[in-house]
Amino acid sequence: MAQRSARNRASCCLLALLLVVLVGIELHGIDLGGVRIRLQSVQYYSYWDFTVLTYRVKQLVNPPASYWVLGAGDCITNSHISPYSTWFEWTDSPFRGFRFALDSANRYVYVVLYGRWDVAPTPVAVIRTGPGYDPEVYIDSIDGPACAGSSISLQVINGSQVSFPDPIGADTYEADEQTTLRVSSTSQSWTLGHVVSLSIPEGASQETVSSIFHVQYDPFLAAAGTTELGVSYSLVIDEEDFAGLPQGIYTITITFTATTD
Amino acid sequence: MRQLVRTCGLMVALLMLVSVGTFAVRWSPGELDVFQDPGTVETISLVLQNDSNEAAQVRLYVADWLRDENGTNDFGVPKNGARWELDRPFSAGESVILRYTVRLPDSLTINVQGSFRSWIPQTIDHIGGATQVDVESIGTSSPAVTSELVSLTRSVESIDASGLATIELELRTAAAFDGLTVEEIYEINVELSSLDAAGGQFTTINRSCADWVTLSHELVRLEPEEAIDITMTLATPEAFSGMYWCILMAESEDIVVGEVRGTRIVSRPSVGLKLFVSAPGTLDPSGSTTGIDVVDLNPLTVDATFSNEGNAQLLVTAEAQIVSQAGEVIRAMRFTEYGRDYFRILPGSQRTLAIVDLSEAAPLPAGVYQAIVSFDFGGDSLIAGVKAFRVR
Repeated sequence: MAQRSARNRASCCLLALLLVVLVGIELHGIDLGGVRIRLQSVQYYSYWDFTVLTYRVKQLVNPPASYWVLGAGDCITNSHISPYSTWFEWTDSPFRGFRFALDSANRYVYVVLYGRWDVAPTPVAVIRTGPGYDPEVYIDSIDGPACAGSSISLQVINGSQVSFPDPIGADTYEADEQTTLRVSSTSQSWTLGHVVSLSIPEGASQETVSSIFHVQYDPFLAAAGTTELGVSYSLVIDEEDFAGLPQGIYTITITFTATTD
Repeated sequence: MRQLVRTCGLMVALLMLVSVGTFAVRWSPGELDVFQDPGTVETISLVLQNDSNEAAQVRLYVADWLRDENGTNDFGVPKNGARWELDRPFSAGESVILRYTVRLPDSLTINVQGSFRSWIPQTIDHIGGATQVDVESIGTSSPAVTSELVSLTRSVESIDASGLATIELELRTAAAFDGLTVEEIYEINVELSSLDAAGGQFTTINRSCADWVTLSHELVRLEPEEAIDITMTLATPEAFSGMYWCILMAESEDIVVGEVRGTRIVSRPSVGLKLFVSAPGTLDPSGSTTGIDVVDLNPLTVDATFSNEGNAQLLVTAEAQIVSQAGEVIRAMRFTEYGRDYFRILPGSQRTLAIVDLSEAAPLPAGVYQAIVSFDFGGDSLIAGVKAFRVR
């Protein structure tokens, strides 16, 4: 999954323009693993509606490091990245981010993202590899594109109270309506689960109650954005189950939990 | 019998009214991946917002979690503790020993409490015996307390020079039952390891950051659309390496919808903010694969197990190739689930995958093949395993 820069005349012109505009506006930098990395500038271009983060990368020692990684939160995907960006590879090691190759020259590295982006401390790593020794990984943080708006929420928007028809014998009984949940997440993947806990009278079997009570989610795709999904309930009762269901006061607690995956 | 059914049917009608509230709370950010040096204290500001048009009372707490072998989130592991699940029948008069170790803190003493629950019939009780683990408690055990059905007693078997204590939980049954869950909870986070789980499943989280986190609020009331700042103070220990994790839960207080002919219905929707804390420069991603097997030919399905042997969470993609005797790749299948082509796996965990051929291609003709499964977790090279199989 590589992202390649467009090597055409237009991009060269654009980057040359950026160099002129951005030199000397140093924001934040570090020396890490023998490499000096500076976030030289952050510029939003309203005409094109993209944000350019320009890094200056300089090798300080020999032999040079092999590559460096700029952390990228879950909110950043290929669809956000302009082909005017410096060539990179996606990596998940030592964290999710853009992996840029290093050589002995001083380099400008451009991260061009569609839309307007703020910056915030982001993990950064320098990796030194070579024949005969294990890779050396140096990690720190540097300002990078921020997933500042990342969030996750869970809402019950319908079916806050449902009931079942009176069971009169061994059968499957469906609840009279569904519960509708709404999950809003900026993460590319999230998960939804539930726990049913019961307070039951003496002589009742928690296992029996748990086994006859079923919670079923409608199919859904856990993607970024807002997702609504239905949850339905059923009772599957056979004759033997009644032995574990004496009369008394029962309390059902159902906890839905939404988290990132 | 007819009378019994009628009576119980009435009870079930009372029982099965399910209710959930209109709670809607948002965590911002939705997940935190923090790099912080050992022995340092940082504060991080989080935002908790009520997205609904009703006021909400929210309880905030830090918990442990992990993913099981199927990738499902498990929030049931006790904080600072361990859980055993023995999914088997027990007979009357049976004696079972669970043994585990605990790494004592510098004070060489720590308190512990435990409980257990039989599944069918259900019995819940606490574990008797020693409640303090130190040198003085070695070999001593109080009389077992407990239900008539089953008793569980804790004793301290030994403590070695390095402060590693060996604990024994002795189970005695007075009647037959099915299934048992046992939980031990320590007052602070300590390293627990199973020595003998008696055929059951032992689960603990030895990379928990739950004890490092303090939240500025435990209980908040949020008016509709109100947002408040929650300050998280993260104090890392003097020495740690790799990645640790925990979860910050925002859980509604009980929403009592009403008394329904004596049956109280309660709901607790919650949102979890996963927190990952890593020591800079210490992450060591590593993995291996085992257990590759072709379990179905139509659709072609290859099972494989991946183990995270490093100290960082990995994001892994998986691909299976079917190679003919002539060396030709005749099928290539990628692992997918929930619309994505990767899975995350925590350090020390295993994940078993089913990689299914979704191409609707014709079944493989008779012959001998190799299934090659490769995992990519961002390391310098892929992790791969091979299994030969025959189609008759």
